[in-house]
Amino acid sequence: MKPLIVLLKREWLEWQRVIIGTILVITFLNLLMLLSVSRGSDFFNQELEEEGHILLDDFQINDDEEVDVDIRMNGSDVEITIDGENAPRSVEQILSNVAAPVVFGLRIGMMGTFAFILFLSMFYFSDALYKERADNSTLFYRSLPVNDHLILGSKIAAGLIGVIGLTLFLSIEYLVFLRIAIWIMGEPFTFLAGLVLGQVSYLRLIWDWFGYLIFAAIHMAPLALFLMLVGSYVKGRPLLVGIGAPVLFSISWAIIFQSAAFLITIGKFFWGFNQVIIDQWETIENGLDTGIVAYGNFWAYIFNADTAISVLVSALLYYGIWYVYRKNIPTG
Amino acid sequence: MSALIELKNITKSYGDLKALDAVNLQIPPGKIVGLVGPNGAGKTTLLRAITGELDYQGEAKVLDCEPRTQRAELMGKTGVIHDIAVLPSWMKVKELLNFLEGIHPGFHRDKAESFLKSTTIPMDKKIKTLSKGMKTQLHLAVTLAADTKLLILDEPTHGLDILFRKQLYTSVLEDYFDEGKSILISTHQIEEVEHILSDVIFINKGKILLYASIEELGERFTQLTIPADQADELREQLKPMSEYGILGRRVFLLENTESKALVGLGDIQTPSVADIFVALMGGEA
Repeated sequence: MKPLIVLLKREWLEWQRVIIGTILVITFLNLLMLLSVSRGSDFFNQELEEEGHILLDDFQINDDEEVDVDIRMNGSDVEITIDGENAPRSVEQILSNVAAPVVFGLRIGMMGTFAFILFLSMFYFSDALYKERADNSTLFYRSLPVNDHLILGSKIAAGLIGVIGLTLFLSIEYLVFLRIAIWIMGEPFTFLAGLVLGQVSYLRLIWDWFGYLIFAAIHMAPLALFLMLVGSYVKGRPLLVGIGAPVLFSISWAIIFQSAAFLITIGKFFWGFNQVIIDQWETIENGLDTGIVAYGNFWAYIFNADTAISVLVSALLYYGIWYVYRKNIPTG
Repeated sequence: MSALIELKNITKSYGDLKALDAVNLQIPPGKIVGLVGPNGAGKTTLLRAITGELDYQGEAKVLDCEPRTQRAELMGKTGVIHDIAVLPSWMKVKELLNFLEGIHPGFHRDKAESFLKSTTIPMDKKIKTLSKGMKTQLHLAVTLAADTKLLILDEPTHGLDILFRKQLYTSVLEDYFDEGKSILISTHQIEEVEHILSDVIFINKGKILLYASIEELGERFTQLTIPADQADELREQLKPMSEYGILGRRVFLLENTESKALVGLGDIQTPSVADIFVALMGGEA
């Protein structure tokens, strides 16, 4: 166990600047969000002060339904009037409609964070072995009393822990910033959003999100290992080759065989981890009785055919990485 | 006494090229062995087969380990310094020591630090900022600080100036070698190490041409320097392995010739390992 921890620590040392830089960039974006929210709330507060109410014309409550929302402050009470053909008539309906944009903001922030980390992880996986080959340190690591599988395993584990851990950390940071943003907005928004966010179980949310990240990690493992394999073999530019070569191959296939089947199959596979989120969102019912469920339960998805295929393909790619790694092919 | 390194029919091919061609070798422990050969002779390939860094055909046993399948265990007992800088360039010197302290059970940090104190290597600098000589010194320091039974040096002085080269071999002898340890040095600059070797292996085109102790070489090979006008007559009589001219005289290198039979013919000397190597390669110096 100790060698594995030492090897993971080595990965942390090598990549800490990227990780800290990522945290700083996301934090900066969150601060920008706070700034824009602050500016927006100033506008509404000014309107509230000058006009005595806030009127939101053509406020979209569902995909294709619009209403006029009129918000007034009566002391510390908030009065909301909603007019329109499909205007909600009950507290539950109002809450449900207010919930939509708040939950959307919550989901989009977390998904955006994950997408950004996934993008960065491609650099990690393509460089994980390539950098060692480039500075010849593969020879050094292989002259140590450490099994090849432990060295390769530590790199894969570091990537997985990095992607999942960093996404979880930044998602929690985003949730904190979201709460601060709503607090900054002031009344009546703080009250309204508080009604929604008060219904959210954050432990449940993080647990669901963690389940999704595990599912997504398993689903994306073949791509990560493919990039590692490319990084253990090519003379230069592993990411460009790792992404560009399959794309060129798919396009060539489509042109030569007049069929996009290959491209579609690959696309479908990698879209799969997005599809489960869409499936979950479509089945979730939010309301005062049930509470707000922002993501849904993904643990059940982990045990399905797609993840079994991912694990199998990953195992084959891992064997390939190990085989090529032992040859220590020099870079250009 | 069981062999430290035992190789049977080790063959390694790269396409049509045989880098190692049925190599058989038995090296007992407690030796300083020089692996000598021209560029491309198969020295590095042989060392990498010994350390399990590459696949090969045949049987190998090094420190009672099969190098390919028991490489991790073998590396716990073996230190390796390559002909190129291999330390991770992004690491700082102190991070390298921390890393080795955690990963290598036989690594003694105090030894490495004590060795580094005698150098100008800064602990908080990244390895990529060090000079080539410093990188080699650092690698030597951390390799010698590990408790190992076999030290493998693959062209360790490649690209280093004369001061570093001398210092390197002095360190290896003073800080590492004792009766329980062995050293295998690959080089094509034999003059540099022949004074510290106990045994020598000549390799060319993937084949072992000779494996002998330095004493055996002295008994087996003789160098005879004669006047040039006697060369034709003595060449017929002595059939030298090789010969060359120097300052109007001819130098014969003879194999398995009794020194007593040469008395009175000229100056008799023990040839240098380099001269024997050149003779065996079939060239003339």
